[in-house]
Amino acid sequence: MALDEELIARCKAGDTVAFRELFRLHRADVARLVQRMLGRPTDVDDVVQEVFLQVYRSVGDFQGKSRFSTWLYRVTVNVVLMHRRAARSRPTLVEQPEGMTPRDPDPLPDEQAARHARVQAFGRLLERISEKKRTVFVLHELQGLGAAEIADVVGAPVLTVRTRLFYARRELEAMLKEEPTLAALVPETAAPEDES
Amino acid sequence: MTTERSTEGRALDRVLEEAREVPAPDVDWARLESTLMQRVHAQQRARKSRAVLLMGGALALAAAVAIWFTRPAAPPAGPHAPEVVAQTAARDLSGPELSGTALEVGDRLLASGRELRVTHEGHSSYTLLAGSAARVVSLGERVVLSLERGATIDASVVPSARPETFVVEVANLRVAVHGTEFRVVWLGDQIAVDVREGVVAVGPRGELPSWRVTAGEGGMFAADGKTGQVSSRVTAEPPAAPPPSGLGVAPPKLPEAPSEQDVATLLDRAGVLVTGCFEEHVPVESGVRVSARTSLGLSIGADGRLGAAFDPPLAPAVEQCARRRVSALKGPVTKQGAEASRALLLGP
Repeated sequence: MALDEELIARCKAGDTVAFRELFRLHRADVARLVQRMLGRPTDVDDVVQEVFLQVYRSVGDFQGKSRFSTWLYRVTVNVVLMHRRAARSRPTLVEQPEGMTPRDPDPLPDEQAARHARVQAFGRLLERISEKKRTVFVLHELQGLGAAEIADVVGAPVLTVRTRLFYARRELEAMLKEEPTLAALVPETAAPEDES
Repeated sequence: MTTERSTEGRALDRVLEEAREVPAPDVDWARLESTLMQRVHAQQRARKSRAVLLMGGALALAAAVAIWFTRPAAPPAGPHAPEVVAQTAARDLSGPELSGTALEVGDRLLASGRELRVTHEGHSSYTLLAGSAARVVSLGERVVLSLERGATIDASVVPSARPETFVVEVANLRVAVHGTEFRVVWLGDQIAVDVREGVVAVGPRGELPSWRVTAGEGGMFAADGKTGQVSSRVTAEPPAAPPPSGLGVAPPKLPEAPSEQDVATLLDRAGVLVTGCFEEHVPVESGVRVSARTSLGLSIGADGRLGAAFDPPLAPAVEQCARRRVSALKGPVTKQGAEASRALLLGP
């Protein structure tokens, strides 16, 4: 994208105004990916900040061989994975899964609450598949990236990405029934012929 | 490739669809940008210091050699000029009345000795009671304020078809409204929300709202947004959720037009670009920079291409720059595209 190229050239020359503009242009996309990869809204601010600090430090290495957004996704994925690994190595209090937090002692069987619970349950399932599969799955299914671009982001062959996607999906489908809120969806989405 | 799915596959598709519709995280961009730029400037200073040290070493060596050969010695070089680093100065604003157009993101509104009333023409007006303070987190079609401890705000918001036109953040609690009159008071660990007209949605920041407070009701909520009580509690509608979609599992069809959220994001981005062009092409002279008010018309083509128009027009250099940069943005591909506009105040 011409605009990105212009801003990146200025960033490389040390122009912090251009860096600020680059940040403002891409921050929402980065935040969305960070949230989807972390699976929770907490820590998003910190990770987004680390991503852009990393962008500032290494923008000189950006050669323009891929699109800037692809390079940015690569930086984001790496920072999120580092954050997750660091978080795992830190002793933490046992945290109740967010979707299980009893915010309302008498929740109404409202469709919105049900959707919220399903998304939370889906996040828990995602946590159970391997890091590599989760990364490509999130990039493909939630961010909408194609296999070739994901290959560029994660530094793996396209065929490997497709294989990871296939198995990620298969594992998630198999685990679906283990989450009660998602298990309820299976009969709901059954086609008429499946029900007969 | 076939799209035939098992029932589990269809269920997964459905939950994926719902996961895609989860609103973008609610980030305090002003605070994040401020911290990030401070760190960036610190790194820049460190880099320059290293460069200065290296150059200083080389110069010292050269000077020593020169002194050796050209006595009497030249006076030692003075210290290098202090580095000027651009900072985003957050302003403290007070006074009995302010216009919303005079505000900038990051400004702190102070009602120290007396009430402070702010009016965003055609959008909302609010009064910070004496002794209250709030920070401006976002401006434009969505005004977001972050209350400081002990603050009380009375707000009146013009009803709008757009969701969440006015948001008050208090600690970790978020109070979002469409069009209503309400009051928010930060009372230590608790936050009181009283609604005179309309409806407000209340919940923890970054999550879907958990309560709805309607006219005549009041609620008390914990500062962490996790617990609270309202006289008639129901789960609030999501502030920005699109209408419920079908359960279809086929590949997503092309939407008729960009979503409201897409349009708002594109307007935000275009606004940033136009502001950047204005700052670049309208120099500060004798410490004074002119300001300009215009309406940005954004056309989003079906193919996602963007076009910008300004009414009244901007200076040719600014407009050329803005059109070029906005056209480099890309919107979603839809059946019919869309048009939108936003008032912009450029400059101080």
